[in-house]
Amino acid sequence: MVTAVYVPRWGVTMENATVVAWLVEEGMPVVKGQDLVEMETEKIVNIVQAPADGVLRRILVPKGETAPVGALLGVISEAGEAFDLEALRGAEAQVETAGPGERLARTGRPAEKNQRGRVRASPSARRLAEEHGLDLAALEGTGPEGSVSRDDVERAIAAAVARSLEEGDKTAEGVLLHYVSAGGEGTGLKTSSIPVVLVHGIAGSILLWQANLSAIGARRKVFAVDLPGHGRSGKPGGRYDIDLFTRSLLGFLDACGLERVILAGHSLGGHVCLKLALERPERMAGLVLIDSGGLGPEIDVGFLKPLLAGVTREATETMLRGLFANPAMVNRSMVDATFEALSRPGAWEAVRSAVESAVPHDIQIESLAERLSELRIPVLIAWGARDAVIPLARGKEAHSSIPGAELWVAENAGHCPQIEAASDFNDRLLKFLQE
Amino acid sequence: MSRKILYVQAIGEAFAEEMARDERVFVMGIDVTRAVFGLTAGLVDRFGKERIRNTPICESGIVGTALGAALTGMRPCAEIMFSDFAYVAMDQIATQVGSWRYMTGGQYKAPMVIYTLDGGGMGLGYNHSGCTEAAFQGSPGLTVVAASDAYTAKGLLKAAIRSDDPVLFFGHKALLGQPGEVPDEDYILPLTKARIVREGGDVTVVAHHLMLHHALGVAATLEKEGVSVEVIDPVCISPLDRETILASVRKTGRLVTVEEGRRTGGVGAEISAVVSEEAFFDLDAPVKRVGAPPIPVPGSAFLEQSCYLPGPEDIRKAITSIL
Amino acid sequence: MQQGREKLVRLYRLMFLTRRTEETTNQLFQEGKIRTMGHWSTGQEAAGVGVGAALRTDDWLFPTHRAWPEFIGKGMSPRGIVAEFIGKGTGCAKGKGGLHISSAEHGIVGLVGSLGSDFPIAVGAALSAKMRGTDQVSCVYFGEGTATQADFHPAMQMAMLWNLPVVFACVNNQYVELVHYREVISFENLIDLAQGYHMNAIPVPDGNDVAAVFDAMSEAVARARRGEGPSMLEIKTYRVGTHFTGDAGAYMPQEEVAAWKAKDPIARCRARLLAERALSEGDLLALEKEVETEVREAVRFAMESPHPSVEDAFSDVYATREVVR
Repeated sequence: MVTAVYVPRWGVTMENATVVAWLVEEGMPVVKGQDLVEMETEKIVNIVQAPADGVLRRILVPKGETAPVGALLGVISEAGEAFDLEALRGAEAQVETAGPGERLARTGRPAEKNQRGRVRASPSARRLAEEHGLDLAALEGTGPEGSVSRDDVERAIAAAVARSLEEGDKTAEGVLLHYVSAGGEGTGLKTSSIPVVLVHGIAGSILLWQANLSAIGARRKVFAVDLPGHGRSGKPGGRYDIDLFTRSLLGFLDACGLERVILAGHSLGGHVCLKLALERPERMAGLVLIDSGGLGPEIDVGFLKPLLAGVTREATETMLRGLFANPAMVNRSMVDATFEALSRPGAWEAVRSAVESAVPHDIQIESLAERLSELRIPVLIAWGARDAVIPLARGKEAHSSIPGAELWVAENAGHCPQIEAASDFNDRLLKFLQE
Repeated sequence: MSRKILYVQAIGEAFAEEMARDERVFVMGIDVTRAVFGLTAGLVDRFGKERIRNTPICESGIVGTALGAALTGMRPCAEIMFSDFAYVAMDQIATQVGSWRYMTGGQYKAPMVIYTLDGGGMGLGYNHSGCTEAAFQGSPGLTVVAASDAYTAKGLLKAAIRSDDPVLFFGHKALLGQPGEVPDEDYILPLTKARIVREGGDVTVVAHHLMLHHALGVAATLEKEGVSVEVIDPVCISPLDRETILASVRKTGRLVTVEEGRRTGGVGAEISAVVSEEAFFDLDAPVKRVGAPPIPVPGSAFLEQSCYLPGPEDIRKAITSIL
Repeated sequence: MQQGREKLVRLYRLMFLTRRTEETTNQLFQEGKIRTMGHWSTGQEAAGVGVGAALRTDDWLFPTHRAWPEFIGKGMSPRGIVAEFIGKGTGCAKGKGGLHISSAEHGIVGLVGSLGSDFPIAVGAALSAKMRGTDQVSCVYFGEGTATQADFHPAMQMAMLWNLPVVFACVNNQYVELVHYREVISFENLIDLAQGYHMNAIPVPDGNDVAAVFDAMSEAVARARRGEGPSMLEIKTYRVGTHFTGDAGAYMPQEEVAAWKAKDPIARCRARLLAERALSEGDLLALEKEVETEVREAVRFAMESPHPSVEDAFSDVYATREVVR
């Protein structure tokens, strides 16, 4: 079957797009949904995915060239199958609907009022605005009859959070700690006083939390920090172990003046947060453990092995693939960003050292499972059912050991449900935070 | 100048006046000479048995015959004694009567009236107590009206008889003995215009027949409690006078519909849909519908009163639930 | 005799015109050029033509769905029928009746789809004539299968009760849609129903003899016009074709069909005209050729006519106002 790939429409004002890079070579096989070509418009960079299985038979717009919406980009078909380029060019182009963040018919008009002076807004918009402390009259209304729709409120919230985004550095124990924060007073939204601090795991960074910051920031202040040796934080060299991470995290809290926080840690980061929660309970208002280490010996670090031999793009990709149930989650920009971070001086050494100290012979040497019952704070355990690194069973056991703890399982996610099931994760986390 | 007459007399006067005015007008139905409910009382003495014509029991046959006569030069008024029995004539009323003009591309018209009485509350049970106007909403070509007092009964019925279009006229048994003022002079009322019976600002209530009177009572009580209720008599059940209802909802932001018929697919259901489509952003609360439950009318008068018929309490509860 | 001959020629022409109009329109179906459903009267043209032709223009006819013989019998032209049938704006009902053809000009009041709803409507028209003091007659023309419908009974009742000028003309073509009528009707002769109402009954056993049908109907109409009340006819015939254009007719036994084809009303009438020397072969051919021309012209006119305007979809719903959408 012959399938034409056309330049999609990602926004109502979009007229054309430029090819940044073809992710599949001509003559190579593709599966439906696979990343095919990265394209750039005036507003966004986005990836077109293959609309069908087959072989990418022809590329019609090469890298660097620009084509209008609806133009023929490429042809997918079975190997050797004949196709008629002219016919495909002339056929009705498929136009994708607007992507996330793009909005049709933005008029910049303030919301309309009805005969009795009330802002025209759907009940759902009204409720959402109220929950977040937004004044409807200040919002743009793009719903029917100039009303404020739920989308309008959501966009206003997202814009408020985006405005509050800060990136910076703190120093703890002489090490520079890079962080990003969002939410809180700076948004002008209703916000809770106790912030959330997000802690990544081995070979990770604040990039891990990209899909979560905005959602959490809409409700309360949230910090994501790069552990020493990771991301843009300092790489002091020497031994990178759980203790170092724990001390650094505490130092970060102090440096930011955060007396009580809710810690949310992933993988090794979970282990770190758990340790801190046990050592400094007075600083804790709640704990979230996501596919966390420190709950037992089992771990499969096979996905890290190539990386431990040396930082290459392939090794990075292998490492990333091991984190997800669905390999298609790993896209080019994710690999690029991770590879870049791991290529920084001292980063690789940090990863090797962390693995050596926490998982020396392919098992986790420190387990805090016995001490779980000491926890007296609200705990949420989040886990991907298809986690190939640390099994779900660990999470379930931990859940039964902690009085009053909550468990959330993402059925179709691997080691990183906060990415792979981001929307559900955010909903669940926010629900936990609200309680 | 005006007089006070009973609702049933208002209907009788309408027939008498229109039959005197136009010899093509005649009445046909079961026992119309004897007038079981008094609607056509005394008319046979004045106009004779040809024009006050008793028929066999056959609602569908009665309506069909009236249609045939209307298509060919007469102006019949066909009686269906209990509105429950209108369903026996469903094809004739809902399809044939209203569609004939259109189906013939305007070659024919059907200037006829079908008149009937709604209403329970007398312990008459499942098949003698119904309110069936809702079933005829949206029937093409048909105008469905409900008369809620003597004044509208006379004015609407006269207008219906004079109209060149077919009209389905619903009276109500419980109102037959209700007195009301009617003008001395000849008058007709517009068939498709709702009327605002009581002005108010906090909530709109649309109600007809006996429920209109209940709603007015509730409005008076609520007034003393600081709630201002606007009460509208829809008059025309189909097609609805949207403008009047929408203008009121835009003013008050709240709406309660009230009918004695069942809630499901009732008159209130259509009003609610129209308001939701056209005044969604003027509503401060959901539209509430008061109507009977989806059960047959119980034969027991006690059950009928306590469990079936909507009443002032139901209206009041619906209003307060959205304040 | 002259009168008789003229009458027969006229009836022949009407039947031939009916058949050719139906066949030519059917061709349009077969070619996929039109979209509706046709109920052809092949083999029973004598019944409809005989009934329609015996009515005056200002008499009223309420037809069956298999109605073209009675339309043409009563004076409608093929042009008027086909244009309306295919829903064109030039049809007598502006295309809004479609197969429900009506023509006030010819006293064809309308065609109901829910067969039998028109029994009381026809009675109502007769009542109107009586009350207004005219000598118009109303006729409801229906198949044997429709006689079982609910409103048959009240209509027969009221017709007798008020002694109305209405004729109940039943054409028994032996098939009720797709089944033989004896599968769904418990007795052989529909005319027996008249007995129950003490109504004047006129059986027409050979309904393929157009003159016989015409004479029987004329008798009934004359009675009604004289104020002697209603009559019922049963015209026995056979539907050689299928129920409607979508049906293959496999349920009709071949020998039965063949036997009745041999009694074709048009062929018989033609033969009689020749035998009685009312017309020569040459006259007949000329007449038939002229009919062909008329039919071709009518169908061409209908096909070339424009659709009704979109605005027309919303007009004529009410006499007194516009529809609110």
